[in-house]
Order: sequence, then C-alpha cells, then structure tokens
Amino acid sequence: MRDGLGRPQTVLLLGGTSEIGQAIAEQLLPQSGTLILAGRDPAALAETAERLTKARRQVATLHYDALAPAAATVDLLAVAAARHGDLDVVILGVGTLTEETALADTSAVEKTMHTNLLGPMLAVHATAARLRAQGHGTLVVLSSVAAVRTRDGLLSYGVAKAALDLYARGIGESLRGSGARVLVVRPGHVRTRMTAGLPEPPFTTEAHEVAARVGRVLSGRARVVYAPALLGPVMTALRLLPAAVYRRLDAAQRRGAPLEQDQRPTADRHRAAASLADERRPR
Amino acid sequence: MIGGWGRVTGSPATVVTPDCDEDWAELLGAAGPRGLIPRGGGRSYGDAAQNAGGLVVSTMAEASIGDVDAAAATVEVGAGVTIGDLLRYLAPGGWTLPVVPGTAAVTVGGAIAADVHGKNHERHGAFGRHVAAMTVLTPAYGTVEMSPTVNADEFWATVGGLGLTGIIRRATLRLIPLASWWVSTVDEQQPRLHRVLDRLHAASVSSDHAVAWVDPLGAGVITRATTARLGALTPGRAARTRATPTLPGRGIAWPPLAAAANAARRTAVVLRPRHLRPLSELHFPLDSLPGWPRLHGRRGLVQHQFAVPFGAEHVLAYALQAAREAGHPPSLVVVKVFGEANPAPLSFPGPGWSLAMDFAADPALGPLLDRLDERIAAAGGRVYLVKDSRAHPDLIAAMYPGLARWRAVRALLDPDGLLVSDLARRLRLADQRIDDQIGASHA
Repeated sequence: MRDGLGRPQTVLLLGGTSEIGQAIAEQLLPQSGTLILAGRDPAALAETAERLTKARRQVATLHYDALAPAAATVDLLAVAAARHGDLDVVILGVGTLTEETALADTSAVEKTMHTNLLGPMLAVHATAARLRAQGHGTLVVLSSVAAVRTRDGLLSYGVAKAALDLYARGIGESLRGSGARVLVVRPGHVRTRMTAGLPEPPFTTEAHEVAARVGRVLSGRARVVYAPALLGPVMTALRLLPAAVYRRLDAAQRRGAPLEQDQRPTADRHRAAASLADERRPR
Repeated sequence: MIGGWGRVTGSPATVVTPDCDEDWAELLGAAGPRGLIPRGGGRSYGDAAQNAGGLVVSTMAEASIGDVDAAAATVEVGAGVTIGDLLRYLAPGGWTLPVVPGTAAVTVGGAIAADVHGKNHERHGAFGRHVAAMTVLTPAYGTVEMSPTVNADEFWATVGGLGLTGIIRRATLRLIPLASWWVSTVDEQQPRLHRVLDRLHAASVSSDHAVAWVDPLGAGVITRATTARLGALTPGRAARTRATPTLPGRGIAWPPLAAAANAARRTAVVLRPRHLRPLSELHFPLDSLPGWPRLHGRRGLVQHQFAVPFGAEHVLAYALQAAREAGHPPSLVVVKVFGEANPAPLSFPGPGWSLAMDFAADPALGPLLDRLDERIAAAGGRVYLVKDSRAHPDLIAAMYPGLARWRAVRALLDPDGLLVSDLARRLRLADQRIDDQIGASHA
C-alpha cells in the first residue's frame, strides 16, 4: 500500500534484468520495501536480487517470460500479490532492441514483435485488471521516443513501441476513477547493455536519470513522461517535420554520430558489448 | 475516493450505510475479495477507515441515544453517534463523558476502535476504560456482546482494534457528573522544553485537563483547565467554523508563516492568560478550523503522534530538533501526559509523554520521520496507529508488544480476514506471515 507521502511498499519489475526498470525500482524503494524481480534468466535474476537487497529492502524473484501464454502472466501477478501483498507499482521493462538490418528473416521479425509488443501488451492488460481490482497502483510502461517518431534503422522496434505506447495509454484512460493508473515513460537513448555499441543521438541519458524523472512524477497525475524532459517538445517538433526533412536529419545524425560516440572508458564498453552478445544468444 | 482527514491518502471503495437489521445481516456476505472496514466520522488523519477496491461500511445510521441510567451512570448509544452530539445531549442532565478526543465529529465507534484519549489521560485513562459493554458484529460469530468481564479478550482486542476485529454497533458508556458547561483555563509560558514538561506534568496532576503547545524550538505554553464551579449546564451554540482555502506550497507550515503564527500565539498568552471557556472550545480546538489540513497546502497534512515513557524526554527534544534541522518545522506541536495504559494490545497511550507534530505532507519527510520512529521504538515508545499514514511495518511489532496477542484474537473473530483497511494492508497488521518469519528466525 502506498503511504501518505506517496512512497510505495511493493514494486514488481516485469523484465527483472532491465537496467532502466531496476533503476526505477531503486528510486522508488530507496531503503525499504519489497521488490519482486520477474524474468526469464534465473541466474541473472539471482545476481540482481543479491545486488539490490538491503537491510530493509527485500528482493524476491519470480519466473516470467513475455513469450509465454497470457494465462502465465495473469498467474504471475496473482502469485506476486499473494506472497507480497498489493502491488503498488508494476514496472513493465520487457523488450529487446534489434537493428532492422539484424533481423535476418521474417521469423526474426515475428519473434521481436512477440517480445516487444504482444507479450508486453498482455502484461499491460493483466496488470491493469489486477490494479483495477485492488483499487490502487501504478503501472509504469517503458516505452521509447521511438514510439513517437520511428526511425528506419529501428523500424520493428519503433512500431512495437508505438503500438504498446498507444495501447497502454488507452488502458490508462479506461482506468480513470478506479484508483489505478498507467504511466508511459518515453526515454530517449539511454546508455545500457541494450544500446551498447549503437551510435548515440543527442539527448542521450542514463538509467538513473530516467528513474529520477519517473520518481518525480509518480505521485502526480502525469500519463506520459519524457526523459530527459526536453525531449517532450523536441519529439513534438520532430513528429511535425515533413518526412523528407526528417529522413535527411536521421541520415545526417547517423553519419555524424559515430564521431562523438561512446565517451565511456574502454572497459565499460567491452563489458557492455559482452553482455549484449549474451542477450542476443539464441534461446 | 474515500480518504482520511489529513487529505494525504485516498482510495476508491463502495460505501454502504446499513440502517436496519436486515442490512446488517446481509452485510458480511456482501463483502467481496477486498473485504470491508467500518467508518465513522472520517476523522482519522490517514488510511485507517478506507479500503481500496472494497467495501466501506458507514456506521452513521446507528445514531440512537438511549436514556441515561442515573443509578449506574451509563448510557447506551449507537456507534454512529458523534461525541459532540452526545456531549450536548448529556450536559443538561448534568452528565458528561470522562474522556473526550480533540474533535467533536469522532463517532463513539471510532473513539473505541482508536481508543482515543483526551487532555486528562493521567486521571481518566483512554476512552476504552469507560466502555461498560458493546455489541459487535464479527465475521466468525455474528453479533457478540463484549465487556471487560464477558468475552474480555475480544473486548480489549476491539478497543483500539481499528475496526479489524468486528464492527461496533452499540456501546454502553460510563459517565461522570458535570458541574458546568464552562471551564476556566490558565495559560502559562515557559521558554525551554524541559521546563514545559515539568510544568505540564505538575498541571496534569493538579488540574482536570492539561496540555502544552510548543514551538519548534521547544518554548511552549501550558494550558490548565478546571471545570467552573458555577455556570450553566446548557451548551451554547456550536462554535462558528471558518471557511479555509487550500494554501499554495506548504501553506502554514512554510517556516516564516509558522514562525509568525507561533509569535502570535505567544503574544495572545501574554495579553490574556486566563479565560472562561465553554467545554466544547477546550475539548475541540480543531473544530473551529475544519480546514486545517487545507492550510497545509495541496498535498495535505501528515500528523505524527508518538508516545515515549517517562525518562525518554530526549526523544521529544530530538523530534523537534531533527524536524527543525531538516527544514521541516512542524506547524503545530502538542504535548500531553499519559498515565496508566489499559489492557488493549493496540491501545496507544501508556505512562509517559505524547508528542504530536503536524507537517505539510512532503516526500522529504519520509527519511526524517523514519529515523524518528527508530528512536521511538528503541526508547520503548510507539506511534499512534489511527493517525499514522507512513510508518514502517517492521517497527510496529516492536512498538506494540501485544500485536501477536491481538492477531491471535483477531484470527478467531475474523479467520478469513474479511475486515481489512488500507492501514492494515500498509502496516501488515493482520499479516500472520510476519509472525511466522519472526518465529522462524527465532527457531
């Protein structure tokens, strides 16, 4: 149950190894409370759980796979609530980033759409139903600025995010008056394992900055939040640009980006690349 | 949305007001998976009388007041009768309640469920001490008669039980004679906290009512009140209430404004230390400003009231100092003296000091009050559950050593956990699993 100062007690992260998701969870439960990490890889979850556990902050893990049938997600939410009480905040951090050129065939497109769109959509639906029934709670959906203006190089990813974003906002509307709420988060480019090695566009940010922004707006009434905030007006402007101009901007940015790319220490980059490779391993 | 008086909590629920025995008979069956919780006047500061996604049962239709039994000095009343209405009803006959909380809008049911106290705890204890008997609707046994002699464990679990053991429908209350509706009060200033406490302790023994207001630096004003020997028994008109706007930002808790208000209060004491007041004005200072939470800004008001044993005065000083240094001086600080506790496991008052601080709700208060709670628990003190909106569940068992005993009685009266509030969820009051964990870690 969220307290009178707006602090949640129980946070569920779907996509337990999502760096942005973890950063948001840490922001919302700085000292105490219960964090439930739900994900596919038990070893990675256990390692994350150990890292995030504090004297007063207990971290539990549950199995969750966005590719599993919808009933599994419904059950997962029921189990989490039965074990740990009402879910105050559910963070949906499921998704992979694959460049369009890396999608070898049609099956690869199917798979990425399943992971980035169908699975998360079912999770939004199941979570909304549970939050509506418990009469309170916030679902934080990690969308992307790519949902607002899709780039050719990340077409499938952008389309999936755009659809998820639209669906989550629609479900959020349907929750009006129920005490529950959906908050759609549209970060720009965030430095994480998922984006390691990609060219960095302007307004690149860090996971903890996205988390801080979410923390600030969580107790308010916002339905959509950009991180960094400046991306709000920027994306509005980009959306209004004629396609021809946008294409040229996009191309120019891709050409220019590698020159100023990745200021991080080499070791960091290597680690990031290694974990990326790990993620892309066939499952 | 059903919220608390402090305006910091709120959740949607279906409110029902049963007004006949048939309604009451069907009530428990109507509770869904989110359960139900009784609600009286809605004057708890936090989330004690709200139930997200569930049922909230208003007792306000249980408003009958019986005739005073002069021989036994008791009266039987419905749980929905407010303290203010009851006092006005009793006064012309020369009777009054021994214990009266800080607002007239509290119902008898709420007063029992929170085991409220007045400004005379040293003399008369808390509200539950004066309940001769009560009729409680429980999930397991239906309507149960309880008193300190019949079903005593159930009785004391329900006193201070926050509505989680059953729904109080009627109660028989013990009365004391009333000589006059008027009280004479004397205000006295003291520049240091320890002097305030000394004088307050002396006053609580020598006067009918005693309370101290202190500023964030520890200087304070002790108010002693004694019932006038003469004067009419008939209550005058209820005090006029003032409309209040929602102030911007932290409102009256904004430090310069709070400092000005404190200075004004001190000046008033110097100008006129003695008053003859109607009883209602002494008992219910809050009722002349029903918009007090609004004055704390859009986010509302968080009150933190705690009690510590005598000898733990350093915790009082720490509370004021920590709030001041964190840049969140409270807008109002009230100190009282408590006497002997009653046998209710979740009753708040116990021998020692009580300090209540009003704050404008602000996320930055979280760490400040959490640290304070640690000190309170370590000193053998506790926070007042019915006013709480932010305490940490792990500390409650340390603050209320009778919690396990209370849970055992509750498990008998409500084995399926039908009675549940947002406060119970947040503090995990009914949660047996915490006990299991403690049991496991001890084993």
